Parts: sequence; C-alpha cells; structure tokens
Amino acid sequence: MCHEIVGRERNVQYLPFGYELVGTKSMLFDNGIWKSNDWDYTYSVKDNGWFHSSPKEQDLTFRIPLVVGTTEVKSTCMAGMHVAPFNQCNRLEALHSNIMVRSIDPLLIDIDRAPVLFMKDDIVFFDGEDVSVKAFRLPTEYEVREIANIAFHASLGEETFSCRMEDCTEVLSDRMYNHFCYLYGFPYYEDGKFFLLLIDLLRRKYVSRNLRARGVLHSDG
Amino acid sequence: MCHEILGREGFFIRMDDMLVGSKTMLFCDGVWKGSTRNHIYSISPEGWFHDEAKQQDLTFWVPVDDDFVIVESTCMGGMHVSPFSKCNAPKDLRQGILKSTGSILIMLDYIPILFGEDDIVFYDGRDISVKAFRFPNEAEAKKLSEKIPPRRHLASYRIEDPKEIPFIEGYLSITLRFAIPYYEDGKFYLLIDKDNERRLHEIRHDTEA
Repeated sequence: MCHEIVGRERNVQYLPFGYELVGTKSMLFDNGIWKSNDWDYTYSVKDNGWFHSSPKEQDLTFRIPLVVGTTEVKSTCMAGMHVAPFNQCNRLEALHSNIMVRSIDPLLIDIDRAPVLFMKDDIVFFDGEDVSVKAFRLPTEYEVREIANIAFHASLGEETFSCRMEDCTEVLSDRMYNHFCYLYGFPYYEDGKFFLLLIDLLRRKYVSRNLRARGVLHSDG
Repeated sequence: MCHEILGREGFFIRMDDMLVGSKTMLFCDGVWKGSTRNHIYSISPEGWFHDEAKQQDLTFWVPVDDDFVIVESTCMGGMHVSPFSKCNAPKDLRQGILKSTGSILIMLDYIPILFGEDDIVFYDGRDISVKAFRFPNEAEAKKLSEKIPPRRHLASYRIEDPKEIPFIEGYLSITLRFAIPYYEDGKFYLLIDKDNERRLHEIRHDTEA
C-alpha cells in the first residue's frame, strides 16, 4: 500500500527553471539577518548563498472532509523550510507592493512572495500546496529578471534599479514616509551580497496601463 | 512552521463518535484479505481489524508548469480507508456490491467500515490510513442502510456460510448483490436488500436478451 499527495488546486504550481524549481517565500531581513516572517526562525546562509536547514519534526494537521464540515487530526512529519507555489494572485502581484522597508534603526526589510529556487532532491514534504525543502537560494540578477518575466508578467527593462539590502535606506531616503517605504521588487544574490531589484513607480504605472489595455486588469491598479 | 493536508476528493460520514469510510475487501476461505490478496487481516475477538502502523511509500505529485514532478518519500501508514465520493456516494446503488465466484470468494466492494479519530495514522487528501477499523453492528448497519440506498426488505445471512446467501448466477460465475456486512455476537453477516433481487433478475434478463 502507498499514499499519494497530489496538488489540491489548479492554477497553483511551481515553475521549472533549468534544473531547479521556483516557488515563493516571505521573509524578513532584520538588521542584516534573514528571519522567517513570523520572527521565530533565523536562517543559516552558506557562503554560496544557499539557505539551508536539516529536516525537523513539524506539526501536521489532517483536515478530513465530512458530509458537513471537517474534522481535524493532529500529527507530525519530517519537514524543512516552507516554499509556496505561484498562483493567480502572485501573477498579478506586479500591481501591488511586496516589500516594506523600515528605515529606523535597526533596518527591517519585509519581503513578501520573493521567488526562491530549490532542487527537486531537496524536497522533504509536500502537503498539496507548500513544499518543505532542506535548501533554497535567491536568484541571481539575471535569473530574477527571467523569473519576474515568466512568473509575474513583469518585463523588467530600464525602469528598475538595484541597491544592496544594507544600503537601501540611503538609496530610498527620498521615498520614505514616517520611516517606512513600500515598494515592488525582488531580492537577489550576486557576488556574495544580497540586493533588491526594485521596479520604479513610473514603471508600475506603465505595467498597470499595459495590463489594463490587455484586459487583465479591470479596476484602477 | 506546520503543514496541513486538506481534502481534495470525497468525504467521510460521522456516526456517533466514529467516522465511516469505505473499503474493498475479500472474504476467501474463511479469511479476510485485502483486495489484492496480499494482506491478511488480524481480527480481535471484538471484531476489530487491526494492524500496527508501518512505513509505507509516499509519492508527492508536485505541480510544475501544468505537469508534475514526482518525489518519492515514505510515511507511517496503516490500513487504507477510502472516502465516499461521486462514484460510491451513499445514495449511489453501487454501495456494497458483492461479487462471488462459486461459493469460495466473496469480494466486498465499497463497504462501509467504522474507525475512531484516534486510529488515524495518515491522510493524503483522499485516503485515510488507520490502525484499526471494524464493521458496523446490526443496528449500525441498518442505520447506514438508510443513508445508503433506500432499503425496505432487509435480510441477514452469515457470511461464513455463503451457500445460504441467495446469489444469482451471472456472467462468468460472478454474482452481484448489494449488501452491507456487519459483525454481531462474534459472527460476520451480510445485510442484503431482498428488493434488489428482482432488479438483478431484470438486469440479467435484459443482458441475456
């Protein structure tokens, strides 16, 4: 006998990228340290930029459907760092901010749905939506432009600018409002350093106008 | 961090403090076996089919670009129980199909079985693995027969004595009966819908014609 876990929703999937797969992850860059978005977990990052963690026992909830409602059964499984798939909302993410920068000391960058790459062999668990992996990495600048184009329909041209994550407060100083700044972009890793590839606001309007013209966007984005 | 496995197909029925799912089993020469004949069930004197949780194969079908990447893994699993679905919904007449070749092999397809939430070992979004399950007792079987297709004239037959069961000879010595097995006073029985006999005769007559 064997069990199979199959993806539970259509239009929710990971992307192939060379020999790797791409999913999305929400993380915090807190005073130079990468943390999970609930602050509970500090990531270990190797010199080559790979985030890694040994599989550990995690809570697993079975939500079993009944004629009316569901019943919950608690269990555990060996799992790793969670990576979410792309979905329809991610694909329209180009219309919203997904990065929050707080400039007051210490620097905090909250990144939502950043594309991350992982190997098939690093998959520890799959619950029908999220995968758990032993290791993942941020894309390089070249890769992030390719992924943005494929996954987010955000063709990135000259209307983008990059800044080192540690230096983003200075670069974004004229955009700060009460020490906070909301942006749209992607983190990447190049030559041992972490950067943000940010899309200019004017570019966002251009993207919105294009999407509206193509009928993808109906309301004012 | 934690994972959640949600249902992607089918449903289970709650009956008092137990859950009801469906299972396909064989009754072969007085022994209860899995549908592939590879597994012989251990049965407690109280009528509980039981087995220790063991490591089983687990396949992840990870959706990638309108296709799948298959990742092989393992999990602790038990005896599989299926949900009710469109194909074997309680209102569907296929519930409790009984097949027999001669009087030796009885295959019970989509029969309702009961298990406790504490016996659940794994759930993959469709099937549940359990450490133990049991057949309903007579009262529970009659209650389930009301949830399953409408029954009017039910009759009980001891499953250990298939010669007594009113089989209707069909194609390739296979006979079909709609039935619910139950366990009462240390014995296994079949609750058979006698009204269905007339319908089966009609089906057979139409097929031969």
